[in-house]
Amino acid sequence: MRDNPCKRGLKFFLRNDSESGYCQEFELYLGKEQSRPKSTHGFFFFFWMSSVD
Amino acid sequence: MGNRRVVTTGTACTNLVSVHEDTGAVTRENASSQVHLCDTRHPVAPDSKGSSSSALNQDVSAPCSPLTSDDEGASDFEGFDSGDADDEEVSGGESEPDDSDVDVADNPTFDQEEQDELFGGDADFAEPDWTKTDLEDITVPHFQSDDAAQFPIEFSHGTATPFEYLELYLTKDFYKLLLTNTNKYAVWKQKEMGKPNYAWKELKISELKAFLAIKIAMGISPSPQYACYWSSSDFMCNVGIKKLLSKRKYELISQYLHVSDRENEIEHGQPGYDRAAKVRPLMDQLGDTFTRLKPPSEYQTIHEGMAKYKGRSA
Repeated sequence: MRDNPCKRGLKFFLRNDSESGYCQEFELYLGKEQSRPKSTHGFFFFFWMSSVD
Repeated sequence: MGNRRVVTTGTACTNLVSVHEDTGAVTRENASSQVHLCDTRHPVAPDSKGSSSSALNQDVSAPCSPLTSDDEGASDFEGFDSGDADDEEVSGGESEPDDSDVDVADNPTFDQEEQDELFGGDADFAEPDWTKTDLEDITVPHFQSDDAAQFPIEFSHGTATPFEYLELYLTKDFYKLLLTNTNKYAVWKQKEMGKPNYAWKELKISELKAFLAIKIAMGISPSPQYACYWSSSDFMCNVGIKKLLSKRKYELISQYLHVSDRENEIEHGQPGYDRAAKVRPLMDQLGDTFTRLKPPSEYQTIHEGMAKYKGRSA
């Protein structure tokens, strides 16, 4: 975190094409409670599962 | 990438043992599901490893992880490369970096007697009930999306101008969203203020487009104050911006521009409150546009990004 170029800002999770970098899907992270149903998994897991569908 | 081998670092039948140097304490790990998909371009052949770790890198043909299921999306997953598998081996042990995760059954330095001595002849440490000959390569099929990119009929890749490419993303729906919500918000706001704003006239799509064009132009040639663009001085003003909209109209649009339906927003603290409600409709629409214009490709990456906060208040 100390080396992070932007410490404050909007955190996004993105699903991109690995060749061109084209963004296929994105999701704004809005804090622990709001972003997902109660779960032991993190937001990354949640986003990944939703992109797999 | 046709053939893929599934390499496991430790399966249920490969009991991992590490002996702590100082205390002599023995820790055992029944490593469960650390499954790595491995490209055959970087094969981790069982034989290429030292004898101590060879059993940890058996090729397994069974569908031992959700990653190898038939799920369409799963084939997008690129897997970890063989380097990860090596890391896993070392990280398990504390004392002896090279031999830390040692499979007892396969290690020549542990004979049966020593095994029994250490673990009291534990039945869990039986020989695995499979052999290398049971294993076969699995083939993960190439992923091909069923969807095709949906371009507007009038769009032609060969002759399209940069502006036409931009309009792929700033669609009619995009303008409609801004137009309706801005007009709705203006009405709502005037009602809330309790007095009408006589300067405001219902926004037209041409004015909205002009407003967005001015915003882009302002980004290209920055000025200390927005009022400078409408300055009467030839040195300060921007003729193009002056032609598009009057300064008063620009101010009014800035005042009422709205993306969400203000009237039906859920207030802070109420159930169902969305912190991103103000931009949610636009984000949803853009997300749909992104997906529509390019079908998902075989190789994709999921990562985290930050957009720097430039505001001065929370």
